[in-house]
Amino acid sequence: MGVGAIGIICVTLFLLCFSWTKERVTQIESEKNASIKQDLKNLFHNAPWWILVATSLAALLFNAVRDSVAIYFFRDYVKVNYRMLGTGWDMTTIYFLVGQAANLIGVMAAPAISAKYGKKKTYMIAMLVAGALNTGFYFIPNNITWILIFQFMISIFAGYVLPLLRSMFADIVDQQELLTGRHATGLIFSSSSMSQKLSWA
Amino acid sequence: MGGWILAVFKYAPEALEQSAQTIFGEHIMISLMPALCCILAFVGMMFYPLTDKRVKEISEQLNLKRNKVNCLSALNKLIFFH
Repeated sequence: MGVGAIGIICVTLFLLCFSWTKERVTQIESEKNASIKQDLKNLFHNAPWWILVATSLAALLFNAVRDSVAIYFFRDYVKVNYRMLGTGWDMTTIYFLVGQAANLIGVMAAPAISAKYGKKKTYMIAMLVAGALNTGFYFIPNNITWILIFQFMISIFAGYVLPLLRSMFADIVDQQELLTGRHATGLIFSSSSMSQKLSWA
Repeated sequence: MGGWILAVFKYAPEALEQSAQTIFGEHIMISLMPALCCILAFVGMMFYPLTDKRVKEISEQLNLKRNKVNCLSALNKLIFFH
């Protein structure tokens, strides 16, 4: 029932989205060599695209593995029985909440910081720091304050890279258009979406 | 994915207490394995050729190209409709 309702709302919104938007990008080349096969061929010969797909797979695997094990980690390793008064939240819930809040901070900081210092450079720095913090996570004492502090810091950097990846896929669209004259936004963004699904599976 | 890795560390769904091996697995899944992902992403990005300078050049060249096309089609319209 709930799923059905969400589905119907979704379809309505998709249709509205389609009817309320207008294509403003002009296609440079004519439609003469327009075929999905040719577009795919171009894409598979695009080195930056391969690098970006692999990189975003790694970045998303990072989140998938970390988040999926958290419940077990808290039950078997941390073993803290705590419920927040009033809300009834346990430690795992608080851990996820802290992570989401920090993710948001990272996402919001991304446009300004990456515009100033560059996407590629700040992406690499964010990954390096997140990697170091995660290694640190292994060595910190089994203490909830430590865990939450590290969760907060890690999630800021993990959140920071999410909008960057999207925006880098848009850069690939442009680069591809310059090379081949085809503006393959749909194809390239669905490939990014597919790499997300693959890593969550 | 998470389930598969847990299975590698012999996670026992029915057990009340997990074995030391499983708990070790859970511990590295939340710390060292994500760290490895970060390193992979970092190394991958090292080879990414679209630096911000390159991206800027690309969008400038594209704009030039687009303007040219727009001018031509405007010109065509003028010729055809007048």
